[in-house]
Amino acid sequence: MDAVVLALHELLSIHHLLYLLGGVAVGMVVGVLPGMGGVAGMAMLLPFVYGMEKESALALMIGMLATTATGDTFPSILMGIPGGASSATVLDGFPLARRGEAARALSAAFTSSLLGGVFGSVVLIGCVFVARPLILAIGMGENLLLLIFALSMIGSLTGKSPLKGLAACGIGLLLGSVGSAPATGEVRFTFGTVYLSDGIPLIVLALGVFAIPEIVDLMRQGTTIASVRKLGGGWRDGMIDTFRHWWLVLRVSTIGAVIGILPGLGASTADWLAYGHVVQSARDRSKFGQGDIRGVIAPEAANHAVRGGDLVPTLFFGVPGSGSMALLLGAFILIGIDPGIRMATTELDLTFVIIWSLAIASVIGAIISIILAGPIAKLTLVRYAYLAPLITVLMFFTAYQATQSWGDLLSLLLLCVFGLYLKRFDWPRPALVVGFVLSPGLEAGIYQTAQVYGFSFLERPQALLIVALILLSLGAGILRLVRERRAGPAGSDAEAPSRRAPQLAFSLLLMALLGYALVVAMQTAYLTRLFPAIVAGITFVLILAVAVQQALAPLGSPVLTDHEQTGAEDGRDRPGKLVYLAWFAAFLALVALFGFSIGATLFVVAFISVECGPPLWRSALFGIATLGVLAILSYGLYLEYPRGILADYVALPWWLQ
Amino acid sequence: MTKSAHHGAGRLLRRLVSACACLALGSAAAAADVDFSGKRIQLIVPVAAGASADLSARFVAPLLAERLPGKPTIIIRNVAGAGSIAGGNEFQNRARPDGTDLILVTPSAMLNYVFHDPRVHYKLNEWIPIAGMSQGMIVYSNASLGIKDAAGLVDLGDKPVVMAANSATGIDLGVLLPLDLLGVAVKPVFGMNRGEVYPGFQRGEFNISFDAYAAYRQEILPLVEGGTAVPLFSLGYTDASGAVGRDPTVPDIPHFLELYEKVKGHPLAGPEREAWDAVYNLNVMSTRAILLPAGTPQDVVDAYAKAVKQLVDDIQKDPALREQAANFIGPQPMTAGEAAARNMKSAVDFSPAGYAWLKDWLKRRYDVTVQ
Repeated sequence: MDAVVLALHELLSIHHLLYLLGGVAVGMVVGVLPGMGGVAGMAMLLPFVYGMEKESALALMIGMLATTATGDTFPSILMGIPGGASSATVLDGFPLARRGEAARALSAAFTSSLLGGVFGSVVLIGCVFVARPLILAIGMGENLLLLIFALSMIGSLTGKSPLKGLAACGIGLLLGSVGSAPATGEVRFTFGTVYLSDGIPLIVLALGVFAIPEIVDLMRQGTTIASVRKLGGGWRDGMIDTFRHWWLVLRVSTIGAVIGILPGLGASTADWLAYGHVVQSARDRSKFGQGDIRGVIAPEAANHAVRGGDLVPTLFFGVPGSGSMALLLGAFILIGIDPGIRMATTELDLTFVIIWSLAIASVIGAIISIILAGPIAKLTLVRYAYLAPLITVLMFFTAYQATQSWGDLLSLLLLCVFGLYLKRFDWPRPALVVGFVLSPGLEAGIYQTAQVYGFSFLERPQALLIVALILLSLGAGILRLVRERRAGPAGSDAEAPSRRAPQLAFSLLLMALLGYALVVAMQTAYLTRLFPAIVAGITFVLILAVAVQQALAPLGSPVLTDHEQTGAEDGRDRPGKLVYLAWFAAFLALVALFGFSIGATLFVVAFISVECGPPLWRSALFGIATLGVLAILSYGLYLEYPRGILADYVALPWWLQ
Repeated sequence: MTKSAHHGAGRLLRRLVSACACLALGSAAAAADVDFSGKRIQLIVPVAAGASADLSARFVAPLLAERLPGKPTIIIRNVAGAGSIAGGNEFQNRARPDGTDLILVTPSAMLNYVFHDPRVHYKLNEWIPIAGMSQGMIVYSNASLGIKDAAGLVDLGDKPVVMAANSATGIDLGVLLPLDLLGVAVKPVFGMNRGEVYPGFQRGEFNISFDAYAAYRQEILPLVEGGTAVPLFSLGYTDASGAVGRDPTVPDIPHFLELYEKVKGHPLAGPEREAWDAVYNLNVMSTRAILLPAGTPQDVVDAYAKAVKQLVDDIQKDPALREQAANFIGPQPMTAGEAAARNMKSAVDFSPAGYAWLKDWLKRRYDVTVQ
């Protein structure tokens, strides 16, 4: 135990502490920019690490990694932009902000981050001794079963119409299968493009399906983000909320840590799966998606606990579970640390420097954020017409960080049309995203497990344990459905729509798209088409059932929800949604002509001029500020923006292209 | 031919002149008209940040930058996607031929080019290699397979040989092909990332695997010492005379051609030998290359060649740096300029007969169609 105290002592020397604080600062700044995360932060720090003392370098890097997921909570809750590790936080965090409770949501989020981060550090200590047997016990088959277990949560994410929920999940699974097939390497649904060869990026999907529909609603209402002109209970309430739900924090932190430890699951899924868990396990689910504080606590605790788990395979196995961990491994080589079993024996002191750094950085990051939460939450009181163009620019900026190609921008535009209609007709979007997140792992897992084990993996006791969990989860879901059905039809309190044609038309369109996907899939090799064809077939049948219900059910039924016809969407006196879609398209056209920086500037000036009228100098001021921030970011972080045609004719400095 | 000979002569002359200039001035102010002061050079890396090719780029970039005239900054930009095609196309469309744009190519960028993937729009043969990296590849088995050396591969009976791979047309080809030529019935599990392979190998889910030397030394050698992994054979290494022999980093185990001859009783020959030669060069002699775009002026190319040469010498001289380099780019020295070009050419130039054979083999074995 000497190593524990010695490492803390070492770390608390002013010298190392400064590096830790530096790391925290970088992590928060990189985190605040949605779409950039640990990978960008590690890439920035790597050149400085060479030649540094091991302890200082570790403090710097771990300090950064511990806090990237803290910074990105701000855009998630305040602007509804799902930027990275805090994607699922948007679901309830943004509605809270709109109710004027941004400060409460933020401080609950940061308190959960703190607890999750500390939990992750504790897990790391526990794993010093059991990492190896643990990772060796969880084979491909168990990994696959864990994914199926996660998928079994879908039952609770289905909203008021279970059929619609399952169909949405199927659409998610199918969207997740775009790109190359694991078994053959053959590409499908890519329309011959390079962009889709690796599938649709999660960030772009989450932006299109969640963020943009919310933003468009806000634009139509034309008020402020917070609908009440007070900021509600401040940061104290949020902290109390978190501590009141300590048992939840513990459970989702465990989920996060486990996802981190198993390299196959992918750290980016932690927040979504934690969200699925909180909805599944809650007694009263009616408030989720409308500002339930538990929907903020769960993803935030999980995405911080992930780091501790993520470090386990990296440190003790030399196997990185994510891009940022792969870069961390590179940094280890640079500073002369040999990851592997030695980290638990002769290099134990370094391991404890890492653990302490993780814990201390999580605490510092959370405290700084809680202090900032109050003032920054005032942003939700700014008139939306000023914020809307800036948020639009930020959203396309975020999407572009996914693969840095025009494909990101165009898919966002397409997906946001899709998202608008999903929202309007109340198709459960969380179920769709969870299906999407799990799809690649499921397909690869099924094929690979079949190749290696056949069915023999089911003979292993650890596998049977997970099978039992799956059955429990499914059983609980079905029981709840039956009970809800007996309690009477839900949603009858809402105003009923007057027509059923639009709802039905959307379902038929989805069926046509699925039919098309089936036809396209059939032209590929057997193992390429097997998974998407089965998914598309089942989903087709599910949507057919939805369409039949829509044609026959009474108008008050949840299958027929249409927010456009009922009062659930305000601002019907304002310009329609298509006007705002046209604004987005116009923005992209400007970017295509002038490049991102100048295009964004022109867009901001034009939007504010049209929405708020004169004086022009005010619009120009916003425009210049946009240009300045984008140029500084590009210059300082070596960011590349989408280039326009202009750059081919005029020699622009690279930070203006 | 005459063109490159002309260039070669010109370069020799220029090198002589610059050598004299160096002697006269006592400083390294060569290629005087090329100056990158204050410039920002972009190195496109067509894989995700953190992948092994990316780490080698991040290792080389700052070292190369400080040896270029004017000490510019080299920024790494990851343009990952579609097996390096996204990065290659981006470079083809955007790179300015003035020395401020570079690309690092990987075997998958070369293979997709070789296999005429319809998504490839880059002309790899026109780019100018300035540095090449080579690294031996070692094939090993899990002790659970029950063989003590490579000779045991031929009488495995019906014991399943399971190997993790990403795709038949990627880097795994370099190991799938020799195992098949030896007559080993491998059951490949496709779609695996390299990071997932190592724990799977330790769990015994895969009983045969391979690694480039740097990863082999770090991760597998401890297992060999602990008795859970058995080194089988290397893909070999080409010596200064151009002959393929045992890999000097693992001299105790046979190389593939040697093993083939021992097992089959005759050396590998015919179109399969021609296919093998190119595949081998791709996987060992030209695993990575850094290139300038087509049309880059000769003085810029020379400035780069000089900087790379300087870097190679400096790495050889400094034991600490050499140790670092072994981890990131392998223990073999980088090649500069024309040697790098030669290695890359032998990797991407399949003989027509060799290519036809490989195309047929891919279809036969893995039902994969290439152009």
